Parts: sequence; structure tokens; C-alpha cells
Amino acid sequence: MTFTQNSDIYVAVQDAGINRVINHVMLQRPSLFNYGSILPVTNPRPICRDIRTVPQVVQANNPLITSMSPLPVIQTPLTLDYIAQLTKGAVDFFPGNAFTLPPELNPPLKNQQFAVNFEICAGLVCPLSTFPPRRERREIDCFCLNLFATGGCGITGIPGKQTISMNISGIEIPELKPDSMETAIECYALLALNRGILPKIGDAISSLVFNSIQLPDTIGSITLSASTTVPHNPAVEDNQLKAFINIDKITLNLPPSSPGNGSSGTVTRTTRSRNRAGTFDLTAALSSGAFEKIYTAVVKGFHFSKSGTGNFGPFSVSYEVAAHLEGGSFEMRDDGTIVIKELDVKWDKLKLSIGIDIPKFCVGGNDVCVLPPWPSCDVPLVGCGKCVTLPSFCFFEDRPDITIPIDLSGLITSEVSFSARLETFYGVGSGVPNRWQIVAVPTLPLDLDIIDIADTVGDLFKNLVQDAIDDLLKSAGAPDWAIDLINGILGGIDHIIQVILDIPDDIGEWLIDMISQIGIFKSLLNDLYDYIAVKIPAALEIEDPFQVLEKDGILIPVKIPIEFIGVNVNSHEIVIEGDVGN
Amino acid sequence: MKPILNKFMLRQATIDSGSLAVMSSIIHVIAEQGEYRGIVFLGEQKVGKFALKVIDYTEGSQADAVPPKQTNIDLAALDNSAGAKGDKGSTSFTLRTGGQVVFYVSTGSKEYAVEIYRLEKQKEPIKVFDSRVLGQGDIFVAHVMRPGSYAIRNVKGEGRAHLKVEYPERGKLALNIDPVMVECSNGTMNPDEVKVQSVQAVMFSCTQESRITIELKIPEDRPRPGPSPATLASMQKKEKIGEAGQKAILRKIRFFG
Repeated sequence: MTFTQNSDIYVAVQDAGINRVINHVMLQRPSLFNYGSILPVTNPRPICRDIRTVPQVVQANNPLITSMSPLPVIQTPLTLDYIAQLTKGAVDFFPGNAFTLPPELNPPLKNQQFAVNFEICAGLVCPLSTFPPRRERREIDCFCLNLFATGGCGITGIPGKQTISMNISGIEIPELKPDSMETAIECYALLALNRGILPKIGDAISSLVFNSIQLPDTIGSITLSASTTVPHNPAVEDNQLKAFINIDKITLNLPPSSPGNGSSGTVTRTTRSRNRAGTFDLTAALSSGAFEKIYTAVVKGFHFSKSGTGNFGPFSVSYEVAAHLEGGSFEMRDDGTIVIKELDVKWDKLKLSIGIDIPKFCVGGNDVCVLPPWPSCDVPLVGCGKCVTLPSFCFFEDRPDITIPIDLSGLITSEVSFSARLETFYGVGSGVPNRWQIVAVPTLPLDLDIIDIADTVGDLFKNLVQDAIDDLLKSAGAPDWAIDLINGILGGIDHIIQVILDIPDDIGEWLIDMISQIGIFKSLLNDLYDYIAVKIPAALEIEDPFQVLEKDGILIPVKIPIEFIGVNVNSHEIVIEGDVGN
Repeated sequence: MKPILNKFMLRQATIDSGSLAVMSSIIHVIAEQGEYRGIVFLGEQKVGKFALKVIDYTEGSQADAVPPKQTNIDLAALDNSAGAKGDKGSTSFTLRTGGQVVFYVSTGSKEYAVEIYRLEKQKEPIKVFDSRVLGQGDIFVAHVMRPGSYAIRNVKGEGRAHLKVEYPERGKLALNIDPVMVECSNGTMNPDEVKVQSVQAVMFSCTQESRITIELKIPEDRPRPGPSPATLASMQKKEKIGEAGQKAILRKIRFFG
């Protein structure tokens, strides 16, 4: 089954998972579900049902209820404290099997519909001073009602800022009589649900669906929009709410240093297996076309730059290089790997400064014969009676250095090929939050193939060497004839290159060997590996617990535990599955 | 390092055996054993001195130390006026009988003369050599660098010659080729037409009093080409294609993590 036939991205959330999310929201932000005038808000008494919370709510001194004005008693200065509590809540997506709908809502649940069930408890506190005391303490009279509602889902907002909305169309409180009172209360509940509670739940679901795909502003941006080529979007079916989303635009601008830099924490990657069975709470799929957009952004986001020095035999080299990636192709395979082929490495800057020692250029030192006088010690017939070695004279006091600046920017053709396997890791943070990471682990070795270096590089290098020698002599004050003389002694540029400097005929390949030996190519591959295996996952990781509602004043943020995330690749799409924890 | 060109090698002044400068040397044979003193002159001024001990030695004879058959003496290193004071090199030399002293000037623009005296017990030292006047058996060697035409004269006699130093051609200049020898005798120079490559030495063998000068008459210069066009603008990239139409890989760099 292919999830992404009609969109770039497919995201489905299961009702059981959403109910777990609702439960987490109730525990972490109880004031969303409890309203009344009973004080103090951090520990109201008496109430109808105990309010369960997580310890952080109490530690942060968060209110358990949303404070309301007391109910006035007409024609008196008196007021009555009251409380209204949403004590249970559940969502059931078509075909509906989480709870039974009352007959008034015409069960079974219709296609593309969802149902909600809430238990609402309310109570009124009678003041002891108003009536003869019936009890020793202030007590509350409570009643509880079961509320059922059905509705549909939609996507609202402009592309890039879209959210999933849930809208109630039918509501029923079975036990409530008379009917007119039921109608009045249902009207109130309908408004409270559509305008108050469900938008919050919709926000939580939208966070799961959209925000988990969003990129932090610091490292890029992604623009999403709902697909319009499917009949229902979102679709409510198979106990899931399914959203079909397209990627309109994605850019990555990862900083050269690791995103982890600057923070004091570290993340240790571990693996976790699923401990739940059945349908995943969250299923997301990325089409091959969507991956191509991400691949293009990832390729575009890679920038390599480096400068430094090195040695290549007797030559010292300083370099300044910058490169980016272009083109290439990818293939998603059913064995779970992604193969990247012929990814061009474009050398935007490849400047070398090659330091060369030139000989001292000495003349003289001949052996001459003084008995009999003869220009050499090899005197015909009589031989040399006394042989003398003449002094030698050197043009330079020591071996002078010259620097050959050669700019090979754009002159080397090279490409990278490798395969990678998508894996998920659970990153245990030290000083930073835990996180799930989806990592493309490149299969080593990574190969960089040097295809070509421009043919004219050899002539360029020779010209530069000749110019550098001439410049050296000129700057040292040598007249033109002396420059020609020294060049004559050196035997011409080919002799300098081949004999004096011992550079092989193919200067282009010699330069490639030099670049290779001083580590530029391996640095690029190392950075590329780091980019794929460390920086990209760091950009796309999901913190655990995952925040679905932001901190609001003193109200703590609402976070849900991500119990599991898994990923697999086939030739059509990348599928990511996850579970919400209890 | 910053290269320091020995510009004195490129000097164009008249070469004079009596005023020894860089790129020239004088070979003098000392036959008798004894203690000798050398005095270095800069013009008329004494600027340095040295001791030379000539030890009687014949090849194969027993000796604690074998005296050298050749001693090179750098006059510039002995020039106290230049602050040398002996610290540039030794001021005492040894030589075997019949050995050669080679006087030369390693660096600098100065021109020197040298006199050698043999020390006699309770007698005035006897001058046995004066570089201003070369004698029988002395050899003067000059490396003439500057291309052009030169006039050679023996200012102590009548000898004349013409020297042509060829312009250096890239790739055609041989290093350390044998000198060209010129004999100075009987008021003549033989040959009287000499052609050398730049840096090729001219070796004057004297059989009479001589002081050789080599004076530049007509320098030869040639226009030099401008800097090579080290531009990439015209460079065309060609991708090497293998026989099967596949890209040929020049190098494969593998990264193992």
C-alpha cells in the first residue's frame, strides 16, 4: 500500500493516540477542563471529581481550575460558588468503536465523521449562613452528565499556516430532561466545544501533523499546504485522521558548525524497539517526489570551505577551498537504502599557493690544469701535473623560495556517490532534552571520483612558475640580461619542471595528487558524512517529550511523550511510524 | 626565506686581474717551503693580512698531517675595513710545496690586490708575489657574465684580444663547461678572438709580466617578453571519455570514516 499517491506527505493520527494526547493535556493543563469560582484555584475544595495532574503542575503553582465569577443569587447580595468539570474525554474516528453513540445521534458513526464523548460534572456550594446548616462543613451537590457529539474535520488557514479544525454538528446529553433544558444545555455545550475545547484539541493534532514537519527558523524553512487532489482532506477513516500535505518550498541553511555547538549538552544515540502492537498512533509517509525536494534542499544546503597548509614532498602548500554540491540522482530501494549517484562537487574556490625552493644557481667550480696550463684536468697525451678547482659563485645566498599561486577554481570535475540507510535513534540528552532522530547513515566508504582536470592546467602552471622566477629576479634587482642568463642556466621551464623540481609530465594529475595528499578531498568527504549523519538529523530531530501546547504565562507547556518512532524505505516512499506514550 | 641576490656577480665594471673582484680568481704556485705573509690591499690601503705556511711535502712521503695541494683564500673575508677582523674565515693557511694558492673574492663590490712575502730569518721579508703583476706560471680566470663585446688588454705589455660573450639562450646554456684558455706571451694574446657563453670562464695563462683587463665595449641586450598570460579565460574544459563512453576516473578518493 502506498500512502503518498496523492500528496508529498501523508500523516495519519489514530484516535487512540489522540485520546492519549487528550489525557496528557488534561493532566498537564487541568484549567482547560475545570471551571468555577471555588478557591483557591490551585487546590479548590469542595469539587465534584478530584483533578488529576502531573507533579510539575503543582510545582509550578498552576491553577487547577479556570477562575470564574460566583453565581449571583438574584435579589440578594449573595453568590454561590460552583464548579463545572470535564472529567473524561475521548475521540472516536470513523468507523467508531471506542464508545457507543446514543440513538439520538443516529449510530453508527457516518463516514468521515468523528465522535467525542465527555463526562461533565457540575456542582453548587450552598453557603452555611443562608440556610440552617444541614452538614458540619461546606459541601457541594454535584451531578454528572455524559455528553456525546459528532462532527467533521477540515483544514483552515492559508498554505504555510494551516491547521486542522474539528467542528461539532450533532450533540446529545442522553439523561437530561426536560428536553428544553437539554436543548439549552446542549446549545451551551456546543459553543463551548466548537469555540473552546475542540480548537485546543485541533491545535494539538495540528502540532503533531504540521509542526513536527516544520524546521526551526535558524536552519531553514518549509512551506506546506494541504493537497486538493484527494476527496477528503483531512480524511476521517480507519480510526484515523489522515492529512495529505504537499511541500511547496523547502530551504536548508545549516550553519557550518554543528547545531549542537554552543550548548553544553551532548546526545548519546541509542536504539529503542516498539513495545506496543497494532496500528501506529502516527503514520507519516514521504513520497519519492517529496524526498526529491528534500534531497535537492539537502544538496543545496551543503557548503564546504577550508583553508590551511600542508606539505607535498618538498613542496609546501597553502590552500583556500570552497565547494558545493549540484545535480546527482537518487534511488530509493526496497532494501531500505537510498543510493545517491554522480553528485557533482563544484569547486567554487580551489586556490593553492605552492612554495618551491629554487636552487642557488652557482657557476664556476671547474677543475683546471695549471701544469701544463689547460682548461681542464684532462690534458691530452701528457696528462695534468697540477689540477686546481676554481671557486664557485652563487647567485643567491641560500635557496630562495618562490610561491606559485594557482587558481584551479572550476577546473576540476569530480563527483560523489554513496548509499545511505535511514535509521531512527533515540538520543539520550545530557544537559539537553532527549530526542528522536531520523538519521541517514551513509554506508562507508564514501567515494569521491575525480573525473577530470582541465588540460590547460599544465601550461598554466608552467607559465606561473616562469613568471614567479622572473618576478623573483626582478624584485631582487637583476637586469634583464641576468634574468635571461639565470633562466638559461636553469635550462628553460620544462627543464625546471621536470629536472629541477622533479614534477612529472602530467602536471594536472600531479596537482590532483597534491590536493589529495594535503587532505582537501578527504576533508570534503568527512564534512559531507558529518552533514548527512549529524547535521541533517539534528535539524530534523523531534524532542521527547514533544510540545503540543506552549507555555502560557505561568502555565507549563504541554508535552506528550513520543514512545516510539520507526522508519523504513521502499521504492515509492519513506514511511515514518510512531506511538504516543501513556 | 627572502632571497638575497648576489648582485655583485652581475657587475659590469672592467675586470682587472690587478684589482681582483667577484667572479675572478688568480692561481699562483708556491714552490719553496717556508713561512709567508700575505697583505691584502684595497687600492693602496692595506686592509688585511694572512699567514701562509708552505710545508715541504712530496706525494707518498710520511707526515703527521698532509698539507693541502690547494688553498683558496677569499680576500673579501680578510678585509678588516669591512669589519672582517678575521672572523669571516681563517687568517692562517697551509700549503704543500709546489701547491697552488687560489685568490678570489666571494662577494661585495670591492676590488683587491694581494702581495705575498716570504719571511727570512733576520732579514727583511722578500716579496714573492704581487697580484698586480702576474708572472710566469700565474693564471688569471675570469667569468664574464654580461653579454656583449669586450676588449682584452695586457696593460703590462702589448697583448690585445677581443672577447665576445654570447647572449644566454634559454635551454641552450650549459653549466660548468670548460674555460677558454688564452696565452699571454711575447706581447701577444693567443687566440686574439675569443667567444664564450655567458658564465663560461676565460683562463689567462701568463708567461711574462701581465695585468689583464677586460673592458665592456658594446653590451648586448634583447627585449624580454612580458609576463606569460596566466589567465584561465581561454581555458576550455574537456571531459576525458573512456573507450566505452563511460567517464574515466583519474583518481578515486575513499573515505572510511
